[in-house]
Amino acid sequence: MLARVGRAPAALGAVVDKLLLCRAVREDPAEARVLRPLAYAAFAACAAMLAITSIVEFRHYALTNDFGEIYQAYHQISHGDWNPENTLDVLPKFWTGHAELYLWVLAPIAYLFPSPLALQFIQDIFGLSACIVAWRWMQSMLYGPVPPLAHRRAFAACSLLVLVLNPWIYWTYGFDIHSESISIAFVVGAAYAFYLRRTWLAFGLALCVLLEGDVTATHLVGLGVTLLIVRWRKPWFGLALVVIGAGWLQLTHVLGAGVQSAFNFNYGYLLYGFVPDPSLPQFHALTVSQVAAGIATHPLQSLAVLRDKWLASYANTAPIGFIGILSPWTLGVALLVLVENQLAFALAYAQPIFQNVPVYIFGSVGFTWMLVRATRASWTKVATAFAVLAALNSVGWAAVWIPQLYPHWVRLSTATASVLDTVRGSVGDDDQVVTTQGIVGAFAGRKYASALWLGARPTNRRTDMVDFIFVPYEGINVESPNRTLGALDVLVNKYHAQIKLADRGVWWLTVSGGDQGIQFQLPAKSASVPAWACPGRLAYADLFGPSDRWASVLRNTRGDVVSRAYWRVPAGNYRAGVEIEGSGPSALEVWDQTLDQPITRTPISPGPRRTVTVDFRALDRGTNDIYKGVGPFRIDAEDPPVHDNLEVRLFSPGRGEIRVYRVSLEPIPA
Amino acid sequence: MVDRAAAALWRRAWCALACAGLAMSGCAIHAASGPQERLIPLPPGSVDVAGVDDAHLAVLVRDPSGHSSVAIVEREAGVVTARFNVPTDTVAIAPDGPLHVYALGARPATSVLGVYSVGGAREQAYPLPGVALSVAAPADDEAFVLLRRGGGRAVVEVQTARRFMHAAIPAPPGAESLAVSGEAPAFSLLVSDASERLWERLPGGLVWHRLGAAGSDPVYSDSGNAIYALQPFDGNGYVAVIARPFNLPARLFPVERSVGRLGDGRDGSLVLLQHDGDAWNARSIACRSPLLAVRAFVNKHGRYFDEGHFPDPGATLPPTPEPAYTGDEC
Repeated sequence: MLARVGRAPAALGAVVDKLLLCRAVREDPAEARVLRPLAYAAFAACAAMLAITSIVEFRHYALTNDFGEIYQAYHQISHGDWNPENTLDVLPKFWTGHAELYLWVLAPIAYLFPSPLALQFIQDIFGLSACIVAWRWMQSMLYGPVPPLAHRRAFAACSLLVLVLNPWIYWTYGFDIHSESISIAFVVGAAYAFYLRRTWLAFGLALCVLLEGDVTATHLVGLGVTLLIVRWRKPWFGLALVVIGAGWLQLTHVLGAGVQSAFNFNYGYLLYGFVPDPSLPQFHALTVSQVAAGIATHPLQSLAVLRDKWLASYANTAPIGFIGILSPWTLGVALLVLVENQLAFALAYAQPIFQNVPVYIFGSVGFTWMLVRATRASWTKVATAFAVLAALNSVGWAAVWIPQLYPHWVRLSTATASVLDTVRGSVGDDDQVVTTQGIVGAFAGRKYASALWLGARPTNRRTDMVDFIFVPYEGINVESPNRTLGALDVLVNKYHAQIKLADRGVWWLTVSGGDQGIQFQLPAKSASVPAWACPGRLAYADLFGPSDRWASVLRNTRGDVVSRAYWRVPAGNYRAGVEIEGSGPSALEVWDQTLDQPITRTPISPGPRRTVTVDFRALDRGTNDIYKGVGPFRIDAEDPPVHDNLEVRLFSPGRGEIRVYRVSLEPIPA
Repeated sequence: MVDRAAAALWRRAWCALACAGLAMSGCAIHAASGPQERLIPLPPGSVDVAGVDDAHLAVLVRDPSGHSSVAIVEREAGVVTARFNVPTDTVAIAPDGPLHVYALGARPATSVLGVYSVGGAREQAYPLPGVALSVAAPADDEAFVLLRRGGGRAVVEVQTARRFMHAAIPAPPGAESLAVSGEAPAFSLLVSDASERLWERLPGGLVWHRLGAAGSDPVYSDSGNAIYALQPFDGNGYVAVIARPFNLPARLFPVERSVGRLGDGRDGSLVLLQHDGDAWNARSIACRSPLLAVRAFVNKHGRYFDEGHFPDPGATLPPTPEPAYTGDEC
């Protein structure tokens, strides 16, 4: 027994070796001497990168609404709720969102590992598996042919770099959890199995793709198209996959799933030429076949869209050396996914992100296929030069974009995260929790959880104890700070919420008792917000006594009494005001935070509690700076909000006590 | 061989043509845009500055012995092209077209507005009914002077072409600085007092309106679309940009604490007189500078997904370019 345990590391090493290197490489010392350390280092780095990203995101609560939906279902199913609700997106049945049935398979893991981090790791394992399968496929192409291919070792090394240095793979797995990032392991596995002519295994893996829902069913259609291209003499397998994929997409929609696919919205505009009102009956009546027919009969509309999004297509395909998506073994999946995402109305789909992960994996394999074909066609020098250039290009993309991974996806400080740790450990398991969007993922492991989100979507009260956990200024929030500050105001003054904790920008409030059947109506925006919710860096929130006495206070200290009271409004004439009481002088300031320029400033004399206002004109001339890359390593980033962010501050020169009760900004009537 | 040489020649010709094209377009763009800001060295002891034309500034200089003179400074080279003496009690100057300068002498009993050619010849002189505080010249042959008369303030209009001085208009008490904009007979008058309050008298109006914005030493922009005023605060200097006709502040931008006077550059620019140690400079901010912008962009992005809004159907259109400078900005 002990001897067996002693041999375990060696056995494990052998398994890993077999996993990473094909037999031809393992048995050729010259090849193994170069490729073994390279493959080990590359996949160790890849695995470490995925794992570290998951840990950092988990530790910083950088898990948003998409993660929350999946984690809620994962948690609930594991706790015996076989048909869980999706309270984050207000779906009575989770499965109607995207028919993501794989969670019922994964749920048993939650018995042992209920943490969100476990779910992140599961996704990472699927990502790593997809990369390893792609790498093995590359080796099969390079080391399969007889006689041996010239420069195959160099091609293998370049292909490996193109695969593991693609930053978009890490961006895919760094953004919450999605069915595409799970299914890619099965899609590429099935394709590789078909390549090896292991048909039953291939079909088994292909059917696993159906578990990931309606979105990934299109990947199966793409795989079918691939088979029709490469096995055109025997089209039955390809046709079968096309029928299964399209049929599953149609079936799930007929059964009521695909509610979140935004199918009509994303492709309806290709038929109409504009985005119609979603309330129109014909808008909802669109079906898959109608959209397909519409696109086929209005091809110029689609071509115009592809032309407009050429930079997004470039950014998706550049790290894989462009040509990979055109190989017959990858054309079906990669090109179909690329086109369907570029044609989607939402620009976010077109950008390098999880929706396009098949492009990155299949495109890398296709890159190797192209090198092999070029070498066989006696274009060895061209192929070698292109391989080296593509590898260098991948290094460039990785150097520019991998360092952006954490600034982009992790936007919550360690100090704030430590406060959230305390809150998370204190919230009851059966409580209903409402949070700001940027942190909802980690709090979604319960029956009732939701994000504040944008707009004025009401929140149904589902339990006696409701916890509101808001971080207005940190995290990837879709709601504005103004909505969060307004929500704090309404919770305290209308719903009589109790503040359980206010520390380092984290607000934890609870509502208990009272009317159980209510809806929390939190305003989409507020012209007036409480000053205690936005104290300056050196000021503190005085929350003693009745709430109308709560204030942001600064005593004999030079600095802002109130800051970060933001409004994002169109150009026009506005009146900013503060309700203030002070024994010393102060100044009311309005800043264009987008331009980082003050707009106006009014000195305020010491005096009793009263409202002081200042009129100003907002010009709305600033432009947010969004990182888009450098040189050729550039993406078509989504535009920032149009309007400038206006900030109302109250500055104290440090003489006397200044108390600010409310801050306001409203348009001046014409 | 000949083909190869011809091809090489062809490639070189194309490269040369492309480089020349790029260089020319680059030069053209640079020439069209020009610098947004410029620091023009002034003679030591400068106390007031105003634009004479788009190439020259007039500067009132007071030397250590107390003598005053007016220097005409070329903006581009920063050299003094003319200099002439004016009375020692001169407190302010204003240009009268490109060829003449008003010099305001403030005597305790009677002040005098002198009209000097840029060569230094005093061509006219107007005794003023009070102690002169400030002078503004909105148009050729037109000058307005703010006076202290007894405990009150008044503005008189001087028409040098007709050698005529209008009766005084009462001005807000405590007014210290005057700016005027417009064309005869529709002039807007603007004054500031020691408490940094701003008052404006619109053309045809009979009363002075208090503006919501604050500041001192105000000037109108050349186009009349903005007011600039100094606004010191907490040990720092700022210039407030106030958009007209709303008269609401649109921007504050920091300047040197030593900035004592603002001047209309006459070419749309704003001129700030600043003094740092032994150096006197005029900071000229061009009209197209974002610091002086008073108009909003119509559409900053051709596509957008704003908070809570339904996406714009034009979301896939290319971004709208920034509107070109029209000259209406300042």
